[in-house]
Amino acid sequence: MSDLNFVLAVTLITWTGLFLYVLRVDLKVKEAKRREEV
Amino acid sequence: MFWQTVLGIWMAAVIGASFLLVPPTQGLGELGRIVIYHVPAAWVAVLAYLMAMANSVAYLRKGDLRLDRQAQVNAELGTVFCLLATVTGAIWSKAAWGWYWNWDPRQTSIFVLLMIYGAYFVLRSAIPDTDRRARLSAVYAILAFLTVPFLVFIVPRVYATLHPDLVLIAREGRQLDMDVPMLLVFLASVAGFTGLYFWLYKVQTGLENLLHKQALKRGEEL
Amino acid sequence: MRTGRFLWLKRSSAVLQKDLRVEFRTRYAYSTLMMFAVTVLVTVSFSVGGMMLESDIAAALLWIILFFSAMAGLSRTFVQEEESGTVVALKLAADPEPVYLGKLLFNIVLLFSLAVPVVPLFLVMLNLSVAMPFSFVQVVFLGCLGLSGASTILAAIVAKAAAKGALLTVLAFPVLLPLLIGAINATRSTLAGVPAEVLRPDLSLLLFYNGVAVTASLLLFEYVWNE
Repeated sequence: MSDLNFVLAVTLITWTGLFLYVLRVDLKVKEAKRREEV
Repeated sequence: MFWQTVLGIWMAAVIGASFLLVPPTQGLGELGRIVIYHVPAAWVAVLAYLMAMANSVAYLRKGDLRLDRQAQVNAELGTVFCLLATVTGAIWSKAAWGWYWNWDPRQTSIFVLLMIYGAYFVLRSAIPDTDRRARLSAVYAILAFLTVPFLVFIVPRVYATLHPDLVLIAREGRQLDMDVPMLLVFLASVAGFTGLYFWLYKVQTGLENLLHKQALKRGEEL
Repeated sequence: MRTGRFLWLKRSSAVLQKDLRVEFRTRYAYSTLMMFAVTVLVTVSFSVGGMMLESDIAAALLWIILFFSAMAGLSRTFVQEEESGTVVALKLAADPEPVYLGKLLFNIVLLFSLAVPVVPLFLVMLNLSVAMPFSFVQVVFLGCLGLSGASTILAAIVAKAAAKGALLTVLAFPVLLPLLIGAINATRSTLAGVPAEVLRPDLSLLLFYNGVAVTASLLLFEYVWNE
C-alpha cells in the first residue's frame, strides 16, 4: 500500500508542477493582453 | 480552444488509466506506474533542450531575434520538464533504492543539465542589451551542450563501482515491453506530454513576441 | 591564405606577449590567483589537521582548490581589456582567432605558474605520497590545460556581462564538470597506483576534452568578440 502512496505522490507532484507553470504562463498572457488594450 | 479541450481530456484519461488499467508490474509492483509520468517528462525535457540548442545555432547563423526568443522559451520549458523528471525520479529512487539521491549516472547527468540551464538563465539576466544577450547566451548554450556527451562516457567510469544498484536502472528499460495495456498507456502519455509541450511552446512564443512588440512600441530596449 | 596559419601564430604570440607585459607591470592576476590558492590550501590543510587522507579525498580536494583558484583569476585578461577600454584597439589590431589563442596561451601560462608551486605544496602539507609521479604530472598538466582551455571563452563572455564577480564560476562549473570528474578519477589512480592500462582511457579522455573545448571555442569566439 505504501508503494501506491509513492506513485500517488509522484503523480500529484508532476501535475501540480505543470499546473502551476501553466497558471503562471496564463497570468503573463492576461497581463500582456491587458496592457495591449490600454 | 478545441485542441486544449482534447489535450485536457486526453491527459485526464492517461492519469485515470495509469491507476485503473495498468496492472502492478513484476519486480517493481505499484512503482511501475511511475514510468507513465517520469519517462515522458524526461523525453520532453530532452526534446525541448535539443530545440533550444538548434535555435541557438540558427540564431548565430541568421541573427534573427525571434530565434533567440524561441531558444529562451525552449530552455525554460526544458527546465520545467527536467525538474519534474528529476523530482519524480528522486521519489522513485527513494522507493526502489532507499535514497532520494545517490549520484547514480542518470541522476548526475540530469543534474548537470539543470545546472547548465540554471547558468544559462543567470547569464541572460546579467546582460541588459538584447543583441548581446542573444549572442552570448547562444554561444554558452552550444558550449555547455557539447560537454553532455562527455558525461555519458566519464560518469559511469567513476560511479559504476560505487553503485552496484545500477542493475535496477536497467529494469526501468525492460519494463517498457512488459504488457500491452501498459505500453499503450505509456505511449498515450508520451503523446500527451509532447502535445502539452507544443501547446505551451506556442503560447509562450506568442507571449514573448507580444511582449517584444509592446516593448518596441514603448520605444525602449527590452 | 598560404601563410594564414603562420600569421595566426605570430599574431597570437604578439597578443600573449602584450598580456604578459601588462601582467608583469602590476602582477594583479597572478598575485590574486596565488594568494587565493594558498588561502584555500591552508584552509583545507588546517581543517584536515593531522589526518591521513585517502587518495579519493585528496584527489577531490586538489581539484577543488585548482578549480576555484582558476575561476578567481582566469577572467582577468578579458575584464581588464573591457575596464581599461583597450578592447576597441585590440579588435582593430587583430582577428578574433589570434586574440582567442593569445588569451588562451596567457591563461595556460598563468595556471601553470600557479600549479607549479601549489601542487607540490599540497602534497607536502597533506603528507601525501604519489605512487605514479610521472602520470600524476601528466594528469595535472592535462587538467590545467583543460581548465584554461574551456574557461577562456567563458571569461570573454563574462567580461561583457553586467555582474562579473561570481558569474564565471557559475558558467564554468557545468562545462568543466566532465573534465573535473575525469581529472579527479585519474589523480586518484595516480596517487594510489594502478596499472598503466587502467589509466590510459582517462588520459585520452582528458586530451579529447581539451581538443573539443579549444576547437569549439575557436569556432564560436568570433560571435563573442565581434559586436
